[in-house]
Amino acid sequence: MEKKMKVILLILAILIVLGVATHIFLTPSTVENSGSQNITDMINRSVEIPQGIGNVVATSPPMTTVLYMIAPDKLKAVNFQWTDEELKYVPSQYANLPVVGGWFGTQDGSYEEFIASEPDIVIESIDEGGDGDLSTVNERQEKFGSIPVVAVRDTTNVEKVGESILFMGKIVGAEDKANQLNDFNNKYLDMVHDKSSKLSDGDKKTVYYASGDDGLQTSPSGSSHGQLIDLVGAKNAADSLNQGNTTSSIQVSIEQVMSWNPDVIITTDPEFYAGVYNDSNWAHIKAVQNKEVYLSPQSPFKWFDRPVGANMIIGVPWTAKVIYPDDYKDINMVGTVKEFYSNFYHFDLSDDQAKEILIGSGMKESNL
Amino acid sequence: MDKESKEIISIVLLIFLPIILFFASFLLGRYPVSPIDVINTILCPIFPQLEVSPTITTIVYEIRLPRIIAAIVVGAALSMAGAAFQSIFKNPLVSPDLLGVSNGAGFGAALAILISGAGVVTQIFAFVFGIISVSITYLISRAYKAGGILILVLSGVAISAFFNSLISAIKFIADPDDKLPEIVYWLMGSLASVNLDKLIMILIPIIIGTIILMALRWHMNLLAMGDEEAQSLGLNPTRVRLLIIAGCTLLTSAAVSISGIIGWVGLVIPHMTRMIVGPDNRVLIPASLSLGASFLLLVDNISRALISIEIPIGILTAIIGVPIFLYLLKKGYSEWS
Repeated sequence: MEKKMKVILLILAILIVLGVATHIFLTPSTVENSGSQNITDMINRSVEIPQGIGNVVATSPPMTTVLYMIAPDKLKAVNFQWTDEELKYVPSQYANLPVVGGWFGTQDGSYEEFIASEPDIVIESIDEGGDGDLSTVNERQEKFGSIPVVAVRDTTNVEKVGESILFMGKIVGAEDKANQLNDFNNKYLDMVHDKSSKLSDGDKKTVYYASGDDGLQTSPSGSSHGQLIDLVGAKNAADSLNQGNTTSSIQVSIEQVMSWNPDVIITTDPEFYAGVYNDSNWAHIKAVQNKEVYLSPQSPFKWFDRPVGANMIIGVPWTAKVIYPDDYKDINMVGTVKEFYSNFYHFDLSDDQAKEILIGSGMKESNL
Repeated sequence: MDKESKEIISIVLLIFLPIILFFASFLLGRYPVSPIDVINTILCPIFPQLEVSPTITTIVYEIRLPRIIAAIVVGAALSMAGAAFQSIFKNPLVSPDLLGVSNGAGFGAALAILISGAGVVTQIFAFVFGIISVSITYLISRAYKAGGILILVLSGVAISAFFNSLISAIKFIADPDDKLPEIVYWLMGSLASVNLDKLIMILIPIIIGTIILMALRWHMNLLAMGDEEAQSLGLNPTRVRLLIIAGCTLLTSAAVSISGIIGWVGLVIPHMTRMIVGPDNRVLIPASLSLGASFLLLVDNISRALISIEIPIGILTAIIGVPIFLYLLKKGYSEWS
């Protein structure tokens, strides 16, 4: 009996040693790839990738979104299932892309699932200011083995997102589309920079960003989530709380919102938006009384926030128009939305569809 | 069938079950790999003339092998520690985190994720804080002269609660978009990010802990008779108990440091084992090792292969374990007395 127990232990030890030994002595034979090129990724790793990449997957949604915008036919899989609402604006050829999961939020992806989608390269996003990044990238590369992992700084700032868009364009051979998207972004960034610099403090409106289904979670301008409010030169109501940059969303009370009495409320939560005008608690707030509550459009990607990334590019003109409609009379929102959806979401909207999206967000017909 | 031959069959089963599962697990995963390819890949280092594709080599050696070993090690460690604790505390409802090790390790991991986020730091912090929390528990119990098991258990409950509050405090201040999900995910338990380097780091505490429990399993039988009885047989119960607690803590801390908090295994696998082989610790401890390793390996295979994303293993251990446990319970539970 005792002997048998020792045998078990011995077998276990042998198996572990065997595993470690094979790990050390195993040198995988590299496939001879005639057409390969050396590139430097965005965290200065040197990576060898094949020439003429056909299939790409990204390990989290922000870069999947960029790929969908600039090289939809090379995107082999998405990270989560489209909702029916989102599918209304997704062309049929992309609606059935396989779902491979990924590493974001509270979930871990499956390496095998990714490898099974047969990508030429895998795009790994690096959060700005995140730590432990290099070790994550190295872990991915180790587990993806011979499939090159390219690290992209997944910038959460709409003013810097151009850099990663252009980099992705180079990697997947979609420079033209990447330039086009970057130019679109810069055009509206320049416009809002110009206008917001001319605003006097007295002209600045106070905007409350409501998230959560009760509208009582908010993000001060220190976080990336309310960045469009600052960008267009409005005051974020929550800034008086003096929360640092670390907190991305904070819980506030309705009394606090009443004391701020914002001119405009922007929300990302349809449930809150549906009830806000009939809620006696909110009835005393200036923005509600003046019908100045706006819901960010959500499909196929959200315009205002979550994720913070290239999907917010179309959110820049929208935010500018809903907060300062008189200053941005020269932006034709229907035309802008149609152009953006057609070029980057590969979906041609009719005038009526574009209007439906904009009026659904709370905009007045006269301000489109 | 008489009792003796039943026992022999059980023991043979317990020896071969983890070995068969070990090899079978290589065949499971989200990427379709044929059994022939798997066998070739495993034999390739021995017979270099075999043709294997680099993709399949990666899948077998970098993705499946570390997880399979991790599941075996973690399952074995938690079950052995659970069996030993149940025996020295003479209480069937005891699990390895009785003295605060899991919450201590959880706090260490949450702290590391908050300040650094690197996997290695998280692992080291979890391991060290697991040991620190049990040490605090033990020192407190020694501070009361009329000590004994009850005081030890009570201070374990207190220290557990204390570290649990500290975890909540860290969750409260962590960034909800980035750090918080990571902490929550770690606390749910997962073997998804295990690699060979992490396994090598815990090899020594696991081996030391295993040796301690294996060597002291006769003493556990004596301790189970009561302290006076053990003393009259020339045993120092306090010292033996301390050694066993140290061994269990090494095992549990090391396991938790790579897997996060996986509940249920350390509480219930020793029970299942007892139903199969009886309460004698000389057999129970190694049998728990085998059954725990097999069970967690089985569950982790489901966690990584069932759907396209990882199912946190802490969720599955109970969902799969409860029916098995209830089935065994129905078959009769006269062994625990």
